[in-house]
Amino acid sequence: MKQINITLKPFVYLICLCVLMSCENEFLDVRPDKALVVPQTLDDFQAILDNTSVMNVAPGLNEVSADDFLATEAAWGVLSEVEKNCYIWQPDLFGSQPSVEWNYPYQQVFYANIVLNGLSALKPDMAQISRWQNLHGSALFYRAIAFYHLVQIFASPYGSGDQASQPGIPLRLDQGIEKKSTRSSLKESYDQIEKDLLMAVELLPERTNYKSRPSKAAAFALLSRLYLTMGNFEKSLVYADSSLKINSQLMDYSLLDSTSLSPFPSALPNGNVEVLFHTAKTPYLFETIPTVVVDPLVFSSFAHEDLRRVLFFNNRGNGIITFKGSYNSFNNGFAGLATDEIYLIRAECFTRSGKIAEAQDDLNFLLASRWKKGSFTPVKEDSQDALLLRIINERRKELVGRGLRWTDLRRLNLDARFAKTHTRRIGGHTSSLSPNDVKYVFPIPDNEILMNGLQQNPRE
Amino acid sequence: MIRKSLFFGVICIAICFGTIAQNRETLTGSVVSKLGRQPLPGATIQLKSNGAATISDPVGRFSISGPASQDTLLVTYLGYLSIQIPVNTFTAGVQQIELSENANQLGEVVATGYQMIPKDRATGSFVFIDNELLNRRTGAGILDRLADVTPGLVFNRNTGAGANPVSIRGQSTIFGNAKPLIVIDNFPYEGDISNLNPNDVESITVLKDAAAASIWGSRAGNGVIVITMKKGRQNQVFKVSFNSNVQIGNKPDPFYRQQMPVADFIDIEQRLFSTGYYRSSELSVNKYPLTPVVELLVAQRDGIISEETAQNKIESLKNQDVRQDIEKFFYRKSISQQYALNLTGGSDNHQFLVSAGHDRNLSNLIGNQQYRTTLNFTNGFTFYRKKLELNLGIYYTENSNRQNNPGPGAISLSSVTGTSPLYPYARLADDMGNPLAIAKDYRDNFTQQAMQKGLLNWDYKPLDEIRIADNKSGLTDYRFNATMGYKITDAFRFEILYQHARSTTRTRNLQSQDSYYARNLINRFTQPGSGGSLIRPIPLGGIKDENSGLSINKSLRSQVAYEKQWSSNQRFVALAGFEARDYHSSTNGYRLYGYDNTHAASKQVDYISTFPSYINPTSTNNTILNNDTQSELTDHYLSYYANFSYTLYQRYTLTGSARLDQSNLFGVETNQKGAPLWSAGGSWNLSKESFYHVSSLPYLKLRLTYGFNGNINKSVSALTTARFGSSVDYLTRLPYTTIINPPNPTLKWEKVQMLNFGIDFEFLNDRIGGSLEFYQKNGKDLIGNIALAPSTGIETYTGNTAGTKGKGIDLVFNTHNVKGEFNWNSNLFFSYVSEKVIDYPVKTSPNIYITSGAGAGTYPLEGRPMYAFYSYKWAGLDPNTGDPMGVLEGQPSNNYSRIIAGTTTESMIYSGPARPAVFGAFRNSFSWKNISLSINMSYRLGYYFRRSSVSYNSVLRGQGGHADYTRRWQRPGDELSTNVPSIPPAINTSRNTFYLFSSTLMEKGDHARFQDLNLSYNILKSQWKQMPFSHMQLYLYANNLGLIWKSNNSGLDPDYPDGPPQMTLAFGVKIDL
Repeated sequence: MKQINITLKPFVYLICLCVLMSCENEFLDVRPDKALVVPQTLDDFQAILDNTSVMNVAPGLNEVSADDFLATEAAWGVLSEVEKNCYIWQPDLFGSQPSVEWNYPYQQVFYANIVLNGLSALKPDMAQISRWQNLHGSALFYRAIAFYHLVQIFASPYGSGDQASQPGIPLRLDQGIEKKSTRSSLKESYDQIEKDLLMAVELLPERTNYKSRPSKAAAFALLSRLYLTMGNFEKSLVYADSSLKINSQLMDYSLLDSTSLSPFPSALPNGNVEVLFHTAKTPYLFETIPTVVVDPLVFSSFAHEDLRRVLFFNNRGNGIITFKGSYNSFNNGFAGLATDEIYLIRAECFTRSGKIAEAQDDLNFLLASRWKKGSFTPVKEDSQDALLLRIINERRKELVGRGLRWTDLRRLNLDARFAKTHTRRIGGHTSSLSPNDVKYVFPIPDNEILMNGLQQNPRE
Repeated sequence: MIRKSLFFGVICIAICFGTIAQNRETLTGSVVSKLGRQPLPGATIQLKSNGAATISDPVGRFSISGPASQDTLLVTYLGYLSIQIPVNTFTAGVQQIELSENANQLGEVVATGYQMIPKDRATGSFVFIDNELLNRRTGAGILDRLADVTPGLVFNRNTGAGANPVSIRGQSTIFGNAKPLIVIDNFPYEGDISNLNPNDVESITVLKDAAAASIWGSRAGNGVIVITMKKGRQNQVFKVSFNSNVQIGNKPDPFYRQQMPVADFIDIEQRLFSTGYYRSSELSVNKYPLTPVVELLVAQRDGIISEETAQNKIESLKNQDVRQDIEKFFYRKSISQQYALNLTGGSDNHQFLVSAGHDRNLSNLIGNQQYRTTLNFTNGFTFYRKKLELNLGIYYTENSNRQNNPGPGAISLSSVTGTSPLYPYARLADDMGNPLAIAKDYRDNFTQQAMQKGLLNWDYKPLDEIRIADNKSGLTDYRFNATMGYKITDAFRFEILYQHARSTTRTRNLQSQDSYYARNLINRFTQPGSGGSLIRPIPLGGIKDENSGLSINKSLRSQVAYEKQWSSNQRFVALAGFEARDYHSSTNGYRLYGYDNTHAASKQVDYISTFPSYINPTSTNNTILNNDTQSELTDHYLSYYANFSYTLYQRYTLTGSARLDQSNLFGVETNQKGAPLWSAGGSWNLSKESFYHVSSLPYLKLRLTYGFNGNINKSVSALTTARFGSSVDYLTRLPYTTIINPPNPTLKWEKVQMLNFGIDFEFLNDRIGGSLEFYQKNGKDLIGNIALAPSTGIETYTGNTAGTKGKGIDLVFNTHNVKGEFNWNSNLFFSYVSEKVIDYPVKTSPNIYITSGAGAGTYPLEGRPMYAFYSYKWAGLDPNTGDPMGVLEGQPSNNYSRIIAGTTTESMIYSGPARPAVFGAFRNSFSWKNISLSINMSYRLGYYFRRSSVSYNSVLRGQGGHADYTRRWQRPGDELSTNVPSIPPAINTSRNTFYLFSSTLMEKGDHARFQDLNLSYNILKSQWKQMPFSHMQLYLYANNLGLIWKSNNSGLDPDYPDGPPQMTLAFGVKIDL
């Protein structure tokens, strides 16, 4: 008995050990958290791009520095330090703090690059090829729009100097994080956006079921906006045209309820016919508090028959006019792409190329949908200059609060006809922003400058 | 009556001294502890001549037959010094056998969770806390009982220490788990340690160095706390003991935190009103509320009330202080009751222990309480001539908590800029004590109109909320242990250990329709229908949230132990085995709307549609909150380990240990899933050498160990990792993921390298003993966050980037100052820890170090302690303006943004560590006859804390501030007597930040504290025959007795600047039947 025990027990022990060893790999391959995933499949990549709180966000501070909205003295005590700095165009905006205006777009670029990297490692079969292309195109589009938003804030206006030597933004084209960032030239930056978008239009489907996802119509629209920003009106016209060929719909404003405090149908998932691609502005108090009001000059430029006067604005008396015209009925303002903007781009490009009749058609088609039924008298301007001025004015009115005004100020300053000095008076101090001021380019947050030794934008 | 009994008891003692019968055939007596005169049951009494032995009964009595007069009795008891008594002296009149505690080497055997190691053969650093020391303190928690009695173990009290309340020999990880491993019944305990009843704990061993802890491998980097549960003993008479106490704690003092006077607060509100500050709230579509003073000012401005009325009402509000109401209606004295019953016994082949415990704790917040019931049943059997040993244990814990009072800090006021704290002149109850409504989320006129339109009452009465709340949580936890050991030969022993633990937690928060939360939510979603009717997307009724969690922990260990003694000169002990552990946990949560508690019925809601808000119809896209959540986590570990110890001539001991841990780390190749760790050690009992003749130091032992422990960080992965949102995207209703980890192909496990050198000594006839240890503890390949340039798309990156370098000293001195009828023992320990971060290449901006370096975040700076205080250099107040002055380019300056931007890591002031560099305690125990008294004083030195002061950002937002406001600079000359700056004309964040984080607010934390006191009185049956028990102890324990000394002059307790822990007083009784 004793003998058996001595020989048997270690043997049993060994068997146990062997059994356990053999299942070791399986035992150690269990995922520690079911919610975790190493993105490898098309579904995984789609889920990354469907994170709307990362991918569908646009800058918000440019609106504070632009001229559509005014902060009253009462608002002043409430605004944050950064908003105050932006409002009165201080040299230092971020006070050595990081800024989401810089971080968010680069986070979008990072997400897009992860998807691009992952897709290149995947060999799609015939059944998957269209989804693969769609995701590839989407990632390129997201990267392009993020770069576009960055150059509108952190780089000089296109055409303000020698693009090849002016600093642009760092172009991160790979998911790796080891490489140091350097500022590409302004030309390289715009070239990259153009390249990504031109590739994206080849890959994207014409329309999507969700307006948070890019489509061919949206990519054409963004190309059109890009070329307009670059002053390339010919190409801008071509792509505005392409976009409108896919979606030319406008809402009939006379069908909307002007008494509603939120009169526009929600863009998401697919409720607003004009919206081509949805993004929402980064929220700031400047957007939400009632003591920040619409510039009275903007408000008074709307005729009484113009429905936008009551659909866009809430006139609460005592000069308190707040904005309610966002195409995003969720809390943060809409800053995406919509057909009304594309009509205005096409009208501007037609005018600039001398096609007065076509320009007027576009403008009148848009405005007719904005006015009370039967009250609108079509615009008739034979002079190219006068029509251009009219279109620029209508552009400001139609696109108020869309996050586009800052870019327009920057590009229009380059044309002496539209250049304008802005002043603001708060707490007894007056600040001003002259045309082509260096303050049209935001400083890059200190943490980025320090870690990569980047060239800072001059602010004084 | 009591006095009479005591007198009687004293008489009894006198009588019983003569009760020991001396008989040629049979010798009877009793064994008691010298200190406290507690009976020692289970002591071995052996005759040296023939080895015949007996053990003492539950009251310490024994009888042994047939000793010859020249024989000697050997009396031994674990944890006490053995004593030899010649039988003839015994007969000559020794009354009781008194054993002295073996205080110099507290306990002779330490537990590692894998084996028991006799202390004299141990090379590593162990602290053994015996049962008596554990029971010095009272209270429901076991971990607290280690405080101020464990060298090297400190309770962290700096900012952000909540997650890691205890550190052993500093912290050698940055973002990894910094908690010591807790081992109960030989297996890691993953549950909540508060489930454990301290009355079920026999002893605790704390493993501090590599040799002690390396058997735990990758979990041992932070030290290990091994908890040994009580078990029955073989051949023990059936014994019943009962312990009960009640502990009362003082009411918290809401006035401890000094606040700006109410009158000043109101003055600021009036000033802000005149600048139009409240205009944004007043006009807001969100109907933000205004405080009563602002409402009065609005009414006055609009001509609704006269200026005189308004000002009179405002004046009367200045006399109201909400803290009086808080003290009266939120707080009470805390009361904790504890009952524990313990039954134990054993025969030759069987031993058992059954225990039951019940704890009730009424917290000092009215409405909150915790109950805990524990049951414990262990059985041990031996078979086949004691070759086969089987132990079975079941532990059961049931907890139930009620959390109906979230505390006064939870009362807040909504505003445009976020939430504001409660205004200081709020009234929570009228003179009759009836709850009053206060401003909360919306303006009064809005809620009044709404109520007229048929919406639910929208008043917020904080005191009613406590009464209405029904927020319960509970836990059921059981552990089943089975251990089988088989002695294959004399040297080989085979063991299998299995543990199955299952814990379910549940929280149930029913917010009835009467609760503000439910009324507010229902109202917010209410829409006016046709003809004055109301549509309620959230139906009337309560809102019930239920969450449940289940965790199942299965562990299997199989090992072979070898122990052989060749002669008295050589001894070899070895152990090898493997262990598999599976820890699985899942959580589920859901919410019910329209809940009817009487019938347990709920109503369905539409989670998909969007609804306009009643408050602000502009925001039309509110969806009803779907509170369904779920998660599922799995941890798998496989470990292989071996260790040995070899002792030669009882003087030289060599130990070694190795362990390989593997885990299901996510996103790594299998070869990276494991980490091999090892340790080696040696000891030399110098005093046993023949050449050793230092009579003044009769015992001297040297120990040296070196090795590696590890630490696991399962939050990182080598591949790009994304996490699925637990619900769908709120805009598109599509599933989405968030990238949580960029690729990191070089990921490794963290390692902690430790070197320990120790000296154990005794001198002056054992009157003084102790140990001195020096150690080095270096963290290597630590997982650190690297701040990345945000253009990479991520702001921080986690990888093996950091190292820490730590060193320290643990010194223990135990002395018997007075021996005899009156005993006085002292225990002093002194721990020194110095640690700094090395190899942390990436720096964040100096403001981050300054504002968060002390623990608000983890921002290590190379060459400094992990948690440290940094500040802006202070250059006094400007004599003309009262502006705080900093230093810019060597000159005093008030250009705050440039001071902040220009401060570098070199120019910022480093004050010192946020955690004590030196800490320890000095405990004195006195005993005289049946009375013992033990007093513990603790001290902490070499660290700093930041005093809070007035934040003008908060003041100028109408949110009040610190009482330093009254000491502010107001006119030239004030700068001579104050360092509090003047109030700025408008919010100036840079100025505010500069002042609040300037060096003028830094204070030294050094202090000594009168921690606690334990007074006990023992009565033995032999001393008081009428007593129905064999032994009874009455005790009194007082805790948190206050500061003895502190080096700062601010009047603040450095460890608790926001309010010290309440003094508690406990009375209890222990009875042995």
